[in-house]
Amino acid sequence: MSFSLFGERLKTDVTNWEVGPYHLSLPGPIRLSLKLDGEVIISGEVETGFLHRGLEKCFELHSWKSAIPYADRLDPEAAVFGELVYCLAVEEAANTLVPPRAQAIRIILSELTRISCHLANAVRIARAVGAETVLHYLLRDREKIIDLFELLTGARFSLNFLRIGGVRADVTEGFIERVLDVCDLIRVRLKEYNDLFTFNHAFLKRTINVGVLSPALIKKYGMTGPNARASGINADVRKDRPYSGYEILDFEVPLGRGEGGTLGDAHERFLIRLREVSQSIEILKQVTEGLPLGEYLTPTEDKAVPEGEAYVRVESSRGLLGCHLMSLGGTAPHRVQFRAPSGFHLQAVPELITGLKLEDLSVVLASLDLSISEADR
Amino acid sequence: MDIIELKKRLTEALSEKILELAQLGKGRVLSVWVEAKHINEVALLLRNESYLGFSVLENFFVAQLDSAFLLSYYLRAPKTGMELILRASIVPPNPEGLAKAPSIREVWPMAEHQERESAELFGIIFYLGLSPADKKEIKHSFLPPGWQGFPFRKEYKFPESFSGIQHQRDGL
Repeated sequence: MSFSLFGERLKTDVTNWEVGPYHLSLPGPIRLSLKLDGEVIISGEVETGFLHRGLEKCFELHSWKSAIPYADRLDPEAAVFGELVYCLAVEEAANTLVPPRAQAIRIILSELTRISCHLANAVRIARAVGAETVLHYLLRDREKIIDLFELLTGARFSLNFLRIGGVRADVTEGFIERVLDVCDLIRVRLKEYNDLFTFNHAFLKRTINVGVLSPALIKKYGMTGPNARASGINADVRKDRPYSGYEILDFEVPLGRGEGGTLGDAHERFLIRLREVSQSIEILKQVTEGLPLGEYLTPTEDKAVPEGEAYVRVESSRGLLGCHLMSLGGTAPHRVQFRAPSGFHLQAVPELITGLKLEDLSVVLASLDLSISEADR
Repeated sequence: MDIIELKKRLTEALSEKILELAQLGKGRVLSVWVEAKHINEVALLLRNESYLGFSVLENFFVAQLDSAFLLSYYLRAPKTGMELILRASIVPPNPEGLAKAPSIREVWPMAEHQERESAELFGIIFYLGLSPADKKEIKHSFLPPGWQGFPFRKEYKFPESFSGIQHQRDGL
């Protein structure tokens, strides 16, 4: 085996590399078994399961209501989506109505979480390409959103704020104004990120035409969310199957256009997330301006849910998050199962990294925005 | 295509293989029950027939009902937006034994991760081809090597300790 460097042929052997389960370049505890020819990955396998906590079983051991904090742990970075999908599923099975005010508060929390997650992902991409300066700016702005969570719920990460039939408490005084302030701030910052990332020659070189996900690959592995949309696939649960009142909101779903590079490359995935942040700001403005008055919770007792099944889905920051639950009429779920988008994204990794240079591996993995926590559960 | 039309077409295409046609949840999604041995045959038809076109497996759900395992494949046809749940049930030869079901990952490759997870946690062998090979064990990736039993089964008893670590403390 050999590879060319400045026109000179260097003799190399095929080597095997084991990376992980704990390594800075990985999105979480996974193990990669790579076969390398020089610095080119010729095949790769992914081993998962290091973060398995038996989360779905935990739901069966608790009452319907007291299982909610477990949903936070599905993906701690995007705790609200886990809570939301579980509450929506129980509400569907139990036929519980959610007051419009509670639905609006849920949307506010969802969109704030989406912005926070997309910024966190940009931090990981910045780290992967070695852009030290910008990641501090991103973290500084994400902190503002986490402060908003603290103001509303008292918690910064595991919010435990949604309830079956609504939310735990009404918005606190000054919360809406603070949300609007943060929206204005992030809108200004997006321009700053554009200068530091999108128009940065070094960043473009590391991401353009790297880790291209073709639409065929997206379909083969059932990938969803920003990763699929960056490859031009128009699918978003908020538009296709609206929930919690998304149907009355006016927003766009950004799609990959292959600007500058190839449709579905790492750069496109990065850009899509920034454009989604901008759309989330639009949604937040609309919801906060028209926040309905009235109750924030339909009081429900922690009692049995009628026998039956429900399957609901939400658009989490990483893709289509589904929850299938089954009740046999007891005071605890018979079975709760989550359809986690990252589990599907991980399946595409071996095919995606084949042919990649080793230096691009961490950039490609970061651009997929994987949550190992939700994939392993 | 509405649900009545879909029902009619499914009955025409699969008549003798359908055990039951029912509707699930508020969304009134149609669920079609077939025998587990026919899963692949039915899956191919659902995916390949142009008037059905269920090319996306959105979710694979396994649950235990008494001694049987219920397998649910949540399908979507991107062109028409129709949804369908394909269902089958399997029974292990004895309460501790491994259950066996045909794998559908050759029809829907996206099922691989979810099949692997269910295999390990429920104790189900998903086999390719016509009959299961003589496989006695399932490779552990979610559970530590050497872990006994299948935690997602209803009769599963949590071990008091594993690898020298106490899981249950006195007085709690």
